[in-house]
Amino acid sequence: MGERLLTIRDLNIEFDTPQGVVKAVRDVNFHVDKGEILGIVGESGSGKTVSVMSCLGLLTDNEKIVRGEILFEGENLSSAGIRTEKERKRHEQFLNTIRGNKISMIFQDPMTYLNPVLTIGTQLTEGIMTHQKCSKKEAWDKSVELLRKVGIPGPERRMYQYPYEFSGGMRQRIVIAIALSCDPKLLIADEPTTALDVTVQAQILELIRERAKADNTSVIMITHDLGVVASLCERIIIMYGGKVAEEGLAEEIFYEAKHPYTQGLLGSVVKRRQAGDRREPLESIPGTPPDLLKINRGCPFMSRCPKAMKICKDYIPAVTPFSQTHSLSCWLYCKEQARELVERQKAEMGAGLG
Amino acid sequence: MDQPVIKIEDLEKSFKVKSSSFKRPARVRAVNKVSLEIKKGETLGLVGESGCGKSTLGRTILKVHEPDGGKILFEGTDITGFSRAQMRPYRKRMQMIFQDPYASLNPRFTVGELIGEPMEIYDMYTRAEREVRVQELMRTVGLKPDHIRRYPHEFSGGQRQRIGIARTLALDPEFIVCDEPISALDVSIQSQIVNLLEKIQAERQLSYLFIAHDLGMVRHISHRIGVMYLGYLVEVGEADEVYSHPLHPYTKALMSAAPEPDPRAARARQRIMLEGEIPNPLDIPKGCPFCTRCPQAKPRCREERPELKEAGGSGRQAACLLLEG
Repeated sequence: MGERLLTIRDLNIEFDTPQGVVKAVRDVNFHVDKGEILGIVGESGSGKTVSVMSCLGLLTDNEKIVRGEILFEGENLSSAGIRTEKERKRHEQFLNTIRGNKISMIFQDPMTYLNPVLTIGTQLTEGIMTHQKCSKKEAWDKSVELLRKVGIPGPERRMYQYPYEFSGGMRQRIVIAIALSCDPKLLIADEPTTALDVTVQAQILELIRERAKADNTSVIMITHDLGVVASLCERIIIMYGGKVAEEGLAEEIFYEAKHPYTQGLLGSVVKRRQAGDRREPLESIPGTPPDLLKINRGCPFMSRCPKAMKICKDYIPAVTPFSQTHSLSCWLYCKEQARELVERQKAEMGAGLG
Repeated sequence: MDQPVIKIEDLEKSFKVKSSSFKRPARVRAVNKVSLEIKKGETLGLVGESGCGKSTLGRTILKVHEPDGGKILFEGTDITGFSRAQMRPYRKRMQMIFQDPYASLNPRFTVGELIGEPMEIYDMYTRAEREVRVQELMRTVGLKPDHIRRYPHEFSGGQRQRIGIARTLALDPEFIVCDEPISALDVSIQSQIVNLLEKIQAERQLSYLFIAHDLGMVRHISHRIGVMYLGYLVEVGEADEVYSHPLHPYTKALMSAAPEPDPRAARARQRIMLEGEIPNPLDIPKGCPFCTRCPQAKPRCREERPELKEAGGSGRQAACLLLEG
């Protein structure tokens, strides 16, 4: 096991909405080791993006971390517990030294991320000059080198061009170049290939893998596409309804999935078939992802789970480890604890009556 | 029986684009001489990258876009030159399911009105009968009939797609163009919709033209698959055959680039990385449209444009000079 780079403990994030408080992330724990590529998979509203965005303090005004620690190289990035304006300002200044420098991000849509009225050169050198003490000339040379590294031909000339002069795949390469410009320790990629075509997607994933391995950069890959994580990630976290459902090495998730949600998710994507056994209906998960405004007290997956039990309704399942790397949160795999809980509750009820 | 529901011959469609007010408008050739047929009860999957003309082809077949050349035969009738009035009885029989269930449903209509509207336009049934039929359709697509007075915003994405499907089925069509019907949905919902489409097909002997970029799903639902590149159909054949033994170099690259949800297989796989991206459709290469990115391109490929020809038997066709030898 490698050295820890990022550790998230008991993270809880809430959104204030006109309809009420949405608990978008609940008691999430995970970590990223140095040089590791971690995949976070989940459907829309599973909390995958928010929990990672919070590491960079990129939450909007109505979203806040209510509890939890985000430890990055020993420093806490979490804004939980910040009360006064002065503290908030200081925290923001501190985050500015991390953002784009030690932790950087690749977003889904490169066109909205790049500024259309600035040249690529300006956008690339900006980050370098902010975070590193160097002259404009040095930053410029470094940027040219970066463009070459991400596979853009003729970088010297390209530095003077504007985003509209590049194709979708090329723009995403530029975004990756900007993200790598300060040699980050951690690269967060939020659905970086969703807007791209299949053949270009393969190129971009290969580029991310290649750069991460070359510089020993850790990567968090957020996606809903199991195919993307299968080829790229060493370890995978499956999120559902704001909680981690299952966590494990790629092999453990794909071949030994235990959580009913993971199993359902794997069943609903098309596996490689032998010729001849075609036209079987896909396994599918009934129902829809939960509305986080009206989520039940217990396991978030309960309403769609084919194996749901009585206990799932009221109690959130504990995290059960299977191996050093593989763990999940489902009552099916901790029946002992479930029985204890029910016994204890019965006893309490009895005491209350007596 | 063996008459295809849809048969198109050398279908062409181009659009004018104005690049500057001084230049003559250029033409984007979105669909170039595409010929194919779809039999009763069959699903033809259409794959390709964005801008390859697959959606335009689907819409041109339905005459949403007027074709510029070629022929469209619907159950043997040539509908290419039909006027709007002549098309009216045929519209009922050929329908479409759209990609975005948020944009394709009028937010001011209730579900009942949405599903009943096509029947009202065609003056089918009495008002009371229509209501019964709407409820029946809702049951068919897996919606609760008591939700008939609700509005689209009260439903999730997957349920809205079900409303769209019910609306399409209201007219009892024989042929449906499914234009990326699952791309906007969550993974666990996608399989629900695909299963529903397959169930309806089996019950009603429908023919689908299924357009999508998710190669795995297309393989699952399709009997046959067509691969498009820059407006050309480059390969067509039995779904499993095209996936396991692609002939055209572009199909080979596309299949090898498709993300596979299986880490061992993904690691073991030999990937063909294509250089660059799709050329601008305003400026299609002179010879084979794929010659600029093809890893096996020969000088001849830059001069001669290959035609779709029989290759490898069982109705398999591909357009590549290298296969012709």
